[in-house]
Amino acid sequence: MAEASAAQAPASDRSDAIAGGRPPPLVAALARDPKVVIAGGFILLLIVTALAAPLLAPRDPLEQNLLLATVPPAGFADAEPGHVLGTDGLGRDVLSRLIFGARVSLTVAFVAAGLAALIGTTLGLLAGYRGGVIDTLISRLVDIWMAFPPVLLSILLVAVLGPGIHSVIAAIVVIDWTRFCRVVRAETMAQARMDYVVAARTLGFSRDAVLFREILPNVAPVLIALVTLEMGIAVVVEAILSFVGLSVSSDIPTWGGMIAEGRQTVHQAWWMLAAPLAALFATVVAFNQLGDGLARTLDPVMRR
Amino acid sequence: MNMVRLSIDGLTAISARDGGRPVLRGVSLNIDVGEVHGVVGESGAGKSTIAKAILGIVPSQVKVTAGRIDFEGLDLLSLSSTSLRAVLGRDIALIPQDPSTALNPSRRIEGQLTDGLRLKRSLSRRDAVARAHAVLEEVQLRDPDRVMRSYPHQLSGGMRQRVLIAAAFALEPKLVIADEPTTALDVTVQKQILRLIRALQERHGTSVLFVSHDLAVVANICDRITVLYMGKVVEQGMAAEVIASPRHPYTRALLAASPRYDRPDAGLEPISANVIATLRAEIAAWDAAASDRGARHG
Amino acid sequence: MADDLLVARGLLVAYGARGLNLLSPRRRQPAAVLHGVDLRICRGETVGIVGESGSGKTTLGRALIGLVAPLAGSVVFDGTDITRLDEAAMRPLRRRMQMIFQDPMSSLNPRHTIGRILVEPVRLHGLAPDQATALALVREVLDRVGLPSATVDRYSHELSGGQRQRVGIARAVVLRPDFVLADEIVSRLYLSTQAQALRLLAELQREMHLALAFISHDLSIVRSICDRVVVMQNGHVVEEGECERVFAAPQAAYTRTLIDAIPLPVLDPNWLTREASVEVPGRN
Repeated sequence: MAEASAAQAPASDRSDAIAGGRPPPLVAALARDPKVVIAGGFILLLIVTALAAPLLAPRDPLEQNLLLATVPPAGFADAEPGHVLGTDGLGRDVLSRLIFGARVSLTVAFVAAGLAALIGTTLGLLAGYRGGVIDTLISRLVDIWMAFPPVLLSILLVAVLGPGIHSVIAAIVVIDWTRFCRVVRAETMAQARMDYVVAARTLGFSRDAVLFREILPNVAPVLIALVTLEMGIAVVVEAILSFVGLSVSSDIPTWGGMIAEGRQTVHQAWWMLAAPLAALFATVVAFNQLGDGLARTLDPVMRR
Repeated sequence: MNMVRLSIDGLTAISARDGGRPVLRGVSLNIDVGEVHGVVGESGAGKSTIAKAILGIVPSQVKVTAGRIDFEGLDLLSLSSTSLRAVLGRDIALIPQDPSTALNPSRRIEGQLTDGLRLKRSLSRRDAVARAHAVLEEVQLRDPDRVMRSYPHQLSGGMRQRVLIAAAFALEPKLVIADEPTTALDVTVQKQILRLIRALQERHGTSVLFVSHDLAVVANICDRITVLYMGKVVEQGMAAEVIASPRHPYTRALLAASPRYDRPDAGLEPISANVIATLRAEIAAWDAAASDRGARHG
Repeated sequence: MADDLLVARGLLVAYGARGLNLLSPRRRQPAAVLHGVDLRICRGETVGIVGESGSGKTTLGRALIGLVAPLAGSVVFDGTDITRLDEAAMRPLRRRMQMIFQDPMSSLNPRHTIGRILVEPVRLHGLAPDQATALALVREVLDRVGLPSATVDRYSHELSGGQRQRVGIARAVVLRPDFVLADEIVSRLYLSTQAQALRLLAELQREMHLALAFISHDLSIVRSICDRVVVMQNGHVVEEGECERVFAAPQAAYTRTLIDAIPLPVLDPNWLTREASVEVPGRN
């Protein structure tokens, strides 16, 4: 019970100085969490880099130069100026490919996570709030859907839709929307039981108004945390698909594709593998930490 | 001449997480053999902390900084955990507050009752079951065999509390700590449980430390009462005196705030700012004296 | 009777009766919570609804305020049967029937400022032409319940339990209703804060001539603030009448047991061992 403060607070509330709390609790708490700040900062940096890729990349990622093939990164023997992370088997600049690869990864991350969240959240809200037959139908749908083997489903989809970023996004959305649906449904049901939701109904607000004014703002924090985690998952899935050649066409650089190429020459040109691996690792960790930090910070505010 | 069963002397504790906020301020109280001693105070007053300190289950962020708890010639606070465990369960038992969370939902009652008997008294399974059966009868549960075969969720709240009381008294402890044992119960069930605790206590000569926020309950079951406010003992004495002629304004205010069905115009008096001011002054004085003591011993 | 504000007749409420599960062959057995309950509340009257767990008092309260649809029976509020109304028709009546909740923490949306919590219903029911007027009205109400004006900018977690409960009370009266349902509103408060909250409620009830239904398990509180009392057990009304009469001379055996079980803060050596005239069966 959060009544401990009253043991110290006197009977008269008028003279009591109510503890201040501006700005809104969310922003202040978030700014205090190191995970959120560091991971969030990294993601932001990545986004800026990807957006400004043509300006930031030192070279054209597709430009081949067989004379400067498999050049090691700066600081090592035989390094060349202008290729900070070295070149790959066809003389293409690794750093530039990394930067352009970030575009693919981040596009997939945001679009796929966004769409999965949209579909899953809509159905989850409906199921959790309306209950009854609608909930039964949606829940059964989710159960049946989740019974399909995800990897097989992805491969099938890409095979049918053909290679391209749209297939990758579709593959992720088709599988991961169920996760959002389940979490949002559970959260909505928990919220719907809260007295302030009942209070809104007795005050005369319509059912829809209650959903948007009372329930959604309290479901949002958990949802945001889940979306960030989903972005990390999407990046990995894209890398896996491009690793097996089921992602975008092979002339567009992707981290997964670079890993596939790098794997074959790992003994002669280790940097070709190390660079995309490091980028992938750092990005996924950042998304996970951000999601973790968000979940932890946002939750206690709600459930004090 | 009454012998003292448990003696708490100057128990002081702070909460490390809240920047050293005092949780208990020099609490002293004695429980005689066969006596029911009530500790009453509002939530956050520290009464549960006293119980936990005796049992050695104080949460990690709370630190006991001074005081002794004497039981049978031992200072419980200075015992190693092994030695403390030997004492607990056998000589000191607990009746917890919430019957719905105190029992393991995936085990039958029989196992949970016989655990302590077999561990502490080294009884064989058959003897332990017989003893458990006997003590379930003592707490007036009809059909003890069925109860023993049941899972906790198959019993009502009142029945579960009786099981917990049985578990506490089964080992014939010298001291039972009842931590708000009736707060989660309906009022008719509460009376039956209180009656039961008193009957068992009288029959076995057990001492009881009865922690509660309800002054009316404490008045009707306790021999002696300690009134606590923000970790400090505000009044202490025989129940008859504390209730009929309270000395401290806070006790008087608590009595005045309690609603009474026999006197509808009495009760529901808000606690005045004067009383709060008096309490705060006392607390401040204690805190100042304590830091002086600390500085001198430094 | 002309003075009647809220009249409930033959209320039958059961959970689990609806909700046909298409994919499940067996329909769940409904569990009846109210077995045909009658209740009458007059304008300006305070009625206490008491009972232990399983008595149905909370469900009765929710049925009175239209949050639970009964399987049978009617709830007539100022001449209109609210059990037959749809949401749109119910809206204007909602302004006149309000509720105060048990848990001060979960009854206030943690994401909204107190100001927003109080202003929105005022605007919804058109009680103020613009935001500024609404805010002024809200500040007045906050002042009336003893909270500083600055509370409008605070969030619920910044207030103490007693302060939150005052906000709950403010929210219930800001629309100037005719009827208020108070559901165990002081159970989660300290004794010292209980007295304040109850006094405030009693004052507002007198000032605004509110009809008040006070649900509680605590008979002592009901005796102090209610005119009439309704005693419930297992979904039935066991006894009802003027508080003075019921407490002085309870007629139902259960009422006697209930009253006898209440401990008083007085020394009564016989209380513990004294039995009421009839033992409550099966309540172990």
